[in-house]
Amino acid sequence: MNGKFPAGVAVVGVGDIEFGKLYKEKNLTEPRDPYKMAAEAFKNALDDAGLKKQDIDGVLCVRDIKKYEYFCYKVGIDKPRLVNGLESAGRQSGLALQYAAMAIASGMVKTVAVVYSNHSRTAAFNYGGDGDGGDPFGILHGMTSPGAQVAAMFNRYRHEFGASEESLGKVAISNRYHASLNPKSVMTKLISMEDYLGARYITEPFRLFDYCLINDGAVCIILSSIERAKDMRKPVVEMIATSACGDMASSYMKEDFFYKGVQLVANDLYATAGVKATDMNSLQIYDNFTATILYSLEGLGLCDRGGAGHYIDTVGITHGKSPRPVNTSGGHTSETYMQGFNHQVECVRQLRGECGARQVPDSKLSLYICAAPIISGHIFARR
Amino acid sequence: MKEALRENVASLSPVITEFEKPFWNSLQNGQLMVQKCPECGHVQFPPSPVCSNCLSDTVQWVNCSNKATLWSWVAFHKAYLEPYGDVPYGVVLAKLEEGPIVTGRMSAETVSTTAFDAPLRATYVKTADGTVLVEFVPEK
Repeated sequence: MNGKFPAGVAVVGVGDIEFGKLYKEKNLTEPRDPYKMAAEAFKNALDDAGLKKQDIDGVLCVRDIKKYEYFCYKVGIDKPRLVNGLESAGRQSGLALQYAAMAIASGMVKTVAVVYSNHSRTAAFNYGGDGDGGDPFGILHGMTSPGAQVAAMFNRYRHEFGASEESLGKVAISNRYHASLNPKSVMTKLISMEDYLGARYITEPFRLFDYCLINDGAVCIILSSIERAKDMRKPVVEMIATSACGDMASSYMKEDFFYKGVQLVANDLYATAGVKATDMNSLQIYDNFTATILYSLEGLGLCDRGGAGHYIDTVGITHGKSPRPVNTSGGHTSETYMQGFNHQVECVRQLRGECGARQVPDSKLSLYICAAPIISGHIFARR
Repeated sequence: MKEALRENVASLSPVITEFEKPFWNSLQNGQLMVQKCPECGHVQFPPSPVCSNCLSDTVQWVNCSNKATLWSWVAFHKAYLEPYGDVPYGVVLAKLEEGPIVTGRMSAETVSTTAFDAPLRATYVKTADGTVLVEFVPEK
């Protein structure tokens, strides 16, 4: 491979399942099998690439299929040269692709399938109640996990920068509009600012529409070298930059709203790829909560600190209005909560021109960023 | 709900390790402690077995001044935790005079009517099962 890592690494196949259709299926008596969903996404990604499973020599399993030996057994991959499982947190999704890219660029493996599966809705997983913010003192005093932590951060952010709750509403409305253009989405009914402000609080200042969905699904992303990609079925999408940065503190809550960490990652991405933030044709921003998009826009350098609300009003985030729409598939609040995997798939589909009504014309560059205790990001380019 | 009436709070207590024991014993006696490094002067909370600045293992427990300011707050309208079924209830993130942010009790009404950065004072309240919580009150 020539050029600076990860140049020469390509995404060759993406596969997912019908999230919206699954969401509408009621009256299941048992949780969905995460391995069954994963196998379907894996098969779809192989078909998308025009590959056979024998072409896969690396497998990274994420979340509810972290028993990687089960998964490999079930799909009949018996001697993968790279195999492991990653924990459930959404911060792993960008890292999983990064690890696959490192393994490919090093020559350890040729083609890696990153497979993610999530059955938390039908397994009735309780996201909010285990106080996993990292502060044992917090839960004793009634504090819970990331939603409440990010809500408290937004409260402070609002005080420091004069941001409005309507700025969150605009994010939720834009995500929902994009989801309405995406046939796979879980939530497609348009919402207004009245709907947003009228919805119940969950952890004030966050309301219902500030939260990610909880839904079942699976995603598979297959990476290989750009040379091999040229012989495969779909247009070539190259990963031209990837970076990560831990944001390690005593809890999920960061006093600088992830600003410094996102900025470090973003600056790496732009320097590696030789591009600017404003060169992007779309931005796929990890949105466990709407406010994370505000923090990310600032760290990405698209506006000044505290200026995300103004950016949304002037430059915009919505397809057809913004020069670089945000979360064109509908994001975590409206499309599907695949913890960053759906965002990365959307980067690829936008660059291939496969997005139908939500397609950004002439997409050449798409950026993924996840602001979390491990911040990660990539830039993908159409080749 | 008055904090003294809150039930079964101990169900949320973490597993207490040997080195954190002085902290929890002190809290039970009505005093929040932070850690101070005698070698470099660094103050930290939540606790660590070493100074997170210079890695000295001589870090000491010291009483906090009980003075803080309101850094932020959140009001829970959904009940996630059995002892906190009295929604909406408030949680305050208070910045201690010593620097670290600690999470404490404050009613939803008080948090939403107290200004950011307003001075607060840590008080200690024994709940129904005997567990002591930190309740921050606006300083007059």
